[in-house]
Amino acid sequence: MRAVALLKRPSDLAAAKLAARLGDAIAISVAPDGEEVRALLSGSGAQKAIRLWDDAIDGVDYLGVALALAGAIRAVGDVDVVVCGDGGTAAVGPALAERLGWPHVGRVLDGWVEEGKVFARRRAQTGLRKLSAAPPALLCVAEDPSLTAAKGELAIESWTLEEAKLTAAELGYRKSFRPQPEAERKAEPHKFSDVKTLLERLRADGVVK
Amino acid sequence: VANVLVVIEVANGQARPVCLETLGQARRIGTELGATVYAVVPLGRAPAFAEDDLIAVLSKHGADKVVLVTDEALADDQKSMRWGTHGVAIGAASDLLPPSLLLFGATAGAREVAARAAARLGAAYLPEAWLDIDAHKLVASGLCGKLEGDLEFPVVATIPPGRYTPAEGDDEAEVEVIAASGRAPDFEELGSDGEAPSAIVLSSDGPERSAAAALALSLAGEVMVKEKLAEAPLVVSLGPPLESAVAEVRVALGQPQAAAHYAVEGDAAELARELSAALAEAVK
Repeated sequence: MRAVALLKRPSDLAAAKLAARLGDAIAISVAPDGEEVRALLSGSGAQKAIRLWDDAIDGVDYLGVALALAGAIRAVGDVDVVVCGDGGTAAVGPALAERLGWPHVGRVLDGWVEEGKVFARRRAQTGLRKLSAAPPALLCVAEDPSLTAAKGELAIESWTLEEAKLTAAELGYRKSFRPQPEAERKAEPHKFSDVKTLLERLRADGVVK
Repeated sequence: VANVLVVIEVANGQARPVCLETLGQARRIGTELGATVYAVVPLGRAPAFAEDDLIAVLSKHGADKVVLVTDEALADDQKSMRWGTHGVAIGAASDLLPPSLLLFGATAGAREVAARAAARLGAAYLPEAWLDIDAHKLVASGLCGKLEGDLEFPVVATIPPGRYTPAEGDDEAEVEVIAASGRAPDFEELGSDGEAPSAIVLSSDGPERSAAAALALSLAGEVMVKEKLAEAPLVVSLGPPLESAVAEVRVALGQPQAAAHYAVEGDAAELARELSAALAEAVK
C-alpha cells in the first residue's frame, strides 16, 4: 500500500509514523526551502520525501494548499492513503479529501491495513470506534507533540507546480480568500459563578453524563 | 450577505447549546444585514406531529426558516458528526440555499466537517471565529486572521462554545423538509473498539494534585501533568495553560484562561472537589 504523509510541523510526525505503518511512505511538505522543513522531511522515516513550493503557492489559503497537494498526489500516482495531522486549524486534510473525492475521517489515534482495506481507530463521543474503508482514503491523525524528527539522510525532491501538473492560475486566485493577519484578539472564556451551572452546561454539551 | 445557514447538531433530539449560541449570533447578523437565517438540521427523519420541540426551540432562538434535511444514515443521533454521515445532508442544504455564511458550532464533529464543507463551496474558512458588524458590513476573524469588506465569496466559520449568547424571540419559523440523496464513498463503522478517557484533568504537582486526581476519577478521565491532547472530548485545567483548537470543550478552574471555553474563578483545588461532589451526587 502506498501512503503519503503530509507534514507541516514536528507534531505532524504522528502522520509520518502512521503512514510508515500502513505501507510505503512518502512524506510531502508544502513549504519554502529551509532547515526546518529539510530536517522534518529527511527525519520523517518515510522512504521518499517531496518538498512542494512555488511562488504561486505563497499566500494562498487552506484550499489553495489543498489544490496544490491534490495535484502532487495525483502526480505521485497510485496513492492508497493520505495521512495528515489533526492539529492547527485542521482544514487542509478535509479540503484535500474533498478535492480528491476520497472519504476522510478525523480524530484517528491508530490505523492499520488488513486484506487490502484501511482500518482506523478513532475517538468518538462514546469511546473508541473502529472504521474501515476500501482505499483510497484520508486519515487525519491526532498530533503527538512528543515526537521529534530523527536525524535522517533521506534525499528530498524539490517540486514546483510543474511537477504537480498544475498552473499558477489554478490556485493563485485563492490568495484573495486568505484571511489577513490581525493583532491577536484575546478570547474570553464564558465564566460560570459555580461548578453546578458549569456541570449543567457540560452535560448539555454532551461531554459529561 | 443573503443566506446565513447554521448547521444544528442534534443529540438525543436536542440541539447542542453551542449551535443555539451560533444561531443567536447569526440572528443578530441577519437582522443587521437583512439576511435570511436558516437553521439546517441534518436528521434521520422529520419530526412527527407533537415531536416539534426542536423546531420550536430553533424558532425561538432566531431561525427565520428551519430546514430539516432527512437522511436515513442519520437515524442514530448519538453518533458524532463526520463528513461521511452528515456531508450529504449539509451539501444538499448548501446546494438548495447557497450560503453567504455557513456556520457551525465548534464541536469536535464540526472540526472534521466544516473545512470540507468550505472546500466543497470554494469558500473562505475561519475556525473559532468572531463575527462582528462594522459599518453595516460583516467582519469575520478567527484563528488564522480576518476577513472584512465587501466579501464576494462565501465564508464558512465555526463558533466556539460560550462566545455568543443565544437569541430570544417568539417569531415562528417556516419549516422546510428536504431529503438528502446520494452517497459518496465512506468509511464503514465497525463498532466500539475500547474505552477512551472521557476527560483529561491537567494539574501541576502542587496542592491541587489530589483534588485533580479525584476529579479525574469522577469524570472517568485521567490526570496528567502534560497534555496528551485529542484523546478526550473534555480538558479541565487546574492551572496548567490550555491550548486552543485541541479538545472539544476546555474548562479552566481557578484562573480564567484565554484558550478555555468555560471558567469558574476561585481556588482550583476547592472547585475541583466541588465538581467531584456534584458529579457523585448525580450518580446517587
